[in-house]
Amino acid sequence: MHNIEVKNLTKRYKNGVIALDNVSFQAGGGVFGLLGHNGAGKSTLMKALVTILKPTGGFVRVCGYDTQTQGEQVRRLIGYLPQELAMYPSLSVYEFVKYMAELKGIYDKAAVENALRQVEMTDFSDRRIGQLSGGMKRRAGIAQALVGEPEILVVDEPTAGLDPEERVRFRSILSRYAREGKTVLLSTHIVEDVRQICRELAVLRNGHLFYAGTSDGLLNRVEGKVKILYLEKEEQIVELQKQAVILSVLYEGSGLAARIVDEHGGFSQTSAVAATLEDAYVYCMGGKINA
Amino acid sequence: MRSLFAFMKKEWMEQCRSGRLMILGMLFILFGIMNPAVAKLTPWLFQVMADSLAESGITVTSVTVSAMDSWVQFFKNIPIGLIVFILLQSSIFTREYQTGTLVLVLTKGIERYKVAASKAAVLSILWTAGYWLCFGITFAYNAYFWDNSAAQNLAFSAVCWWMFGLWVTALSVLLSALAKSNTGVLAGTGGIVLASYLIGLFPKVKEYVPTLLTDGNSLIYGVSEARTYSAAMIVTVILCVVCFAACIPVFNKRQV
Repeated sequence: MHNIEVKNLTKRYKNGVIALDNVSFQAGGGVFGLLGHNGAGKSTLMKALVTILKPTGGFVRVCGYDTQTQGEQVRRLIGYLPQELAMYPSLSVYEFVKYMAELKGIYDKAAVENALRQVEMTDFSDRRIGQLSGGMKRRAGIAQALVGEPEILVVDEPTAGLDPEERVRFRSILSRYAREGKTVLLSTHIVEDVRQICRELAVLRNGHLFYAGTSDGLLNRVEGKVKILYLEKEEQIVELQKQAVILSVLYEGSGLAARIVDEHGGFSQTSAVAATLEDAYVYCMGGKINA
Repeated sequence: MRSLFAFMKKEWMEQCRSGRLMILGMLFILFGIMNPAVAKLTPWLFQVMADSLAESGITVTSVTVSAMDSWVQFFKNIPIGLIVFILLQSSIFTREYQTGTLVLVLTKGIERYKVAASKAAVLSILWTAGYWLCFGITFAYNAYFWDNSAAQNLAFSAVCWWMFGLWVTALSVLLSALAKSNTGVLAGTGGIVLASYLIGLFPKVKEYVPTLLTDGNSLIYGVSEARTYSAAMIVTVILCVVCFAACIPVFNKRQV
């Protein structure tokens, strides 16, 4: 049995906007990445998973429990770090995590201390949340999600806006937690985060599931097709767009180097390069131009 | 039950650390002292003003004050206390909607009705404590300077005003669960109280509206009898229960 089962999940808002359209995938142990651009429906899916949003259709099951009919059991199993993390600035880090633990029915001080230790916040436990930096606030946020060591950890864009050091720290925390046999659902639009720690992933695009499977499977979609094409003039990009999916365009010397997916092998004057997960993701998203 | 207490503890800590509790405490203590102080200082004030009043043709002979003057002052000041209380506390839900703090709380497993119940309980306790603190201080000073027995139906008139305040508190809790912004809560609460006042202008329904309970002076002077207020009291109790109870389904449907 998969720890997370999403089946035909649909969310249509009253104004007619469809945030999720018939999304289905399964996630087992380890870190599962949920990739997609801003507004792709990742946060909506996460909110449905943590029982704070009622879907219009389909269902989400967490360890076999339905999020709509067995919300209480689901909430016992999950730890959640929302994208827009709102905390109580007047509380200290320790008070905040302890309060969150108590709401979850955990009254063991050791559990609070353990969560703080896992995110390396023990030395800052007396500091008021209002006085913390953005990265430390995120760490306090992940501590409250980790308290009680939930089976499923749901983290929504945890590294957005963090400096590289904090991002690395976050990835370490998540991968270490997953190694203990837990499931981590990581939503992000940063491909590097997924590449580093996720074995499996799903890609959402405008509320639709574009891909679900292993990172390698996604990579295989562009493997051997990514090439560099040198252009002399910027105007050539428009013509190139008609023939290939452009992943990126960089200025090099007096010309431009376009990274493309040559699906049909129609470009002879190109040099093949190793495909990256980012190439595969951008390809899934329909390509982009970063000139 | 323990998660309910944990939530209430957090509410309490927020009240303390945000300074709202201190402001309310100071306000109600200040009003409690001011009521007898203003009454006590009235003769002196008239004496000071005697010359200027004489020029206007008013002769001040001797001014005697009693506990009644202090209680009249109490019923004048307590509406200001209630307004400040509502201004400070009306954002009890809206603040959490806007900041998104309830998302974490609700995903931890606490039932929504407990969140609503604890917020309603905290505000009711704060209003009750503040109001009776103000009353107690005024009562003690009045007993020291004068004689409280001069005021008729004193306990009943105080209970009436407390009940009215509790209804306004219940209204603001309900509207805070319903509205998106603090402005909506204040406008809604003010609008409903005003509507109650306007309805009370019609003689046929006057004795059923909650605003009748604010007429403490008529009670202490014996102009009105306590039983005249019983219908308004019953209606207000029912409205309090309805507001607090309605808060739960409203909050249940609310997307955080």
